[in-house]
Amino acid sequence: MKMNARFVGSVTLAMAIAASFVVVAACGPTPDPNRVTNIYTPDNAFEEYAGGGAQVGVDGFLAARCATLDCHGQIGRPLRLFSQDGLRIVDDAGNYPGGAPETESEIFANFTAAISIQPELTSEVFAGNYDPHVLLLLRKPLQLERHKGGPVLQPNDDGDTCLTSWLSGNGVDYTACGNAAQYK
Amino acid sequence: MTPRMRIPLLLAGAMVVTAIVASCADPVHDQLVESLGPEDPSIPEGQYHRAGQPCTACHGPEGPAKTQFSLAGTIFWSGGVAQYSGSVIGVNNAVVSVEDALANTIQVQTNCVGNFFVTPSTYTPAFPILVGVFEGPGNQYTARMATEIGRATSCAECHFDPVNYDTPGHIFLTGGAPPEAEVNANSNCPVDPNLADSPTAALP
Repeated sequence: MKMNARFVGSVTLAMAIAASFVVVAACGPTPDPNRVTNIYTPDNAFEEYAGGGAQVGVDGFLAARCATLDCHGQIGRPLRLFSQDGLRIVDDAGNYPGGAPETESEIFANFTAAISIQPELTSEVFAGNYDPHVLLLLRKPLQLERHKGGPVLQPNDDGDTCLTSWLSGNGVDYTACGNAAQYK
Repeated sequence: MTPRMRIPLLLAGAMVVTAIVASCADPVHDQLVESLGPEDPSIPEGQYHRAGQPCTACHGPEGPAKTQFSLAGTIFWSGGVAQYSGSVIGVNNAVVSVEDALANTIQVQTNCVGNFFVTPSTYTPAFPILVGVFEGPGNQYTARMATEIGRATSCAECHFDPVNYDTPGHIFLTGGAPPEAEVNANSNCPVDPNLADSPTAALP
């Protein structure tokens, strides 16, 4: 009988300790709204991302293959991608999927989304300190990390080459990006 | 153990069981099903009901419908000049052609309200998929999706009313007014194939 009383007491004590941990953890400091995380990219990172003219950049590939409305063309996604046939940025233009071509604002928003998933690590990759494949931007589509959309890239395929060439800072492979943007 | 000791243990056990049972529900799915609203009283449950709605919200793995679809949706003729103030009529006998990532294909016909569905035992696509819709002699009316579908199993997950920044609207086979001959040929449909006449037309 005494052991049972001790057991109940121990359980109660353990629950009280666990509850106190939760309460203490919930009282963490308020996030600083003025905190800024710098992301360092090469000067031409956005130009290469955007492409232009006959050259399909990284955006052309991501917009075609990743930005559909049922995947990354959704407003709540960490990697949220706008595109002509997918999600449109809400502004005075009032664009809708399938309407006007992708705007400069949408391309820049996509660029920002792509480099902001892991800001510190992305800076390190652009600086040449790490292989681009440490980034979720490649690890997810290569299914090295869980990706709800499954393995959408294969090692060294056009999509992998497009992203890797851009992130390595050695000049984006526009041909690979153009090929990767095509439906096969 | 005395009855006084049993009470806190029973309470703790009940709390654990309650937490486990509650965690088995999916409130997001429940809200989605709820958002679709009640049945149109003029259309019985079956192949003609809820045209234009996301079929697999209910006919998916989480239910509550008994039958499960691997792909489903609705194809409409255009509503005419005023796209959403005019009629929104389902396309009868349109062919929905699907090709998946493994090059497996299927072709399905729509019924007279424009609904089509595929069951998992018939075809479960490997995403992404490419889709086209064809109707009429020599595929006179053709619409191909501009993008691939990454994982949605209902057309209306993305194609819903009204056109906005996040949706191109319903799937329309023509850009202009519905072809009169085709619409007249659809007059034998057991239910009204005009979505605009439905009290649930405003629902997603």
